[in-house]
Amino acid sequence: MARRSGLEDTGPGLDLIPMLSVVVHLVPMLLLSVRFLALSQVPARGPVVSALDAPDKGSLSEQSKKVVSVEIDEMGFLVGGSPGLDPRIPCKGPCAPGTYDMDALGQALVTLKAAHPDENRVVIAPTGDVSFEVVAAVMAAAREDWSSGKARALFPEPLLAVRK
Amino acid sequence: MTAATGGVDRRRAAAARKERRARRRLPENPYLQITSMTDMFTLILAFLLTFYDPNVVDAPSLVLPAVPASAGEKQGSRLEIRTDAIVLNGVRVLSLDGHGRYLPSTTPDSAGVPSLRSDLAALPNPGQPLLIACDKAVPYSVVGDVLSSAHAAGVDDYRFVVESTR
Repeated sequence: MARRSGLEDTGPGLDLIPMLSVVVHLVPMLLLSVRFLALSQVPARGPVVSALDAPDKGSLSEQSKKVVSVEIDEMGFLVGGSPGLDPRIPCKGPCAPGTYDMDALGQALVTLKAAHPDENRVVIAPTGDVSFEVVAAVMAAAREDWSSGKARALFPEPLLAVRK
Repeated sequence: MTAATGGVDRRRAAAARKERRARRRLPENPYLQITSMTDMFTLILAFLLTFYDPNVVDAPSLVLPAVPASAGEKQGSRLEIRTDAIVLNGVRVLSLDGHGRYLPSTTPDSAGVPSLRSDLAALPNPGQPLLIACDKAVPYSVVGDVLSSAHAAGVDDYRFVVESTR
């Protein structure tokens, strides 16, 4: 009869080695593939069919004095809702996602909020060629003012217009 | 020396010999001490799995815009507008040309894209918001058609998923 070694005498324990091997492979794989992102959600409403291309421009100009709106086109922003404000905010260069003047738009929106303190909605009307990056930046700027380092609510209910 | 003390000495000497023999038989480090390492890896794994979000798609065709926005999340159906496709709850429902524009075979009408409209109308939870993750390069004409399709399908509560810079 063969003698048993001392290791065999310890009895059947839980064999952790395969599990540990899996974990050791899994952890570096996850660490290599990990990308830390802080995601947020920007709520929006709509779409509203924009009358900005309608033929009756006279009544529209009267309407645009009352409705807070931001048009985005190939020349920059066109802000509506404040008679005393220069409505056109041009791009800092050839219009592209990085050249739209977001600082000037932020200041204009703060002025608009002061003129319409009870208004929560802003109509955002981009043209079809504007990239979503610019639209998202305008929505974020219209919802909150971060110029002081803290979020201050401006127009928390952006309405996206669709031109037909 | 009495017989009794001699017996005690013999027993002590035998015990000491037995202990020495036992010490000689035992290896110095019989097992790899993996308990603390297992603990550490288990904690790291639990941390990674807790913060793993299957909704985040790290694909070149879906680069979210980075904007300063406060955090706030709701659950809902997920619509991805990538540069090469529109994906609803993980299912590719419409192909795009790789630059976020329609293929020639797609003809949107005044209420959006007909096929997308029917897909959105068939969502299992119409009361939940529609979470739209849109690539930053997609032109607004496509986003507008998606919104029109959602509106025609009865979905008016939607939220755009963005990367927060705050």
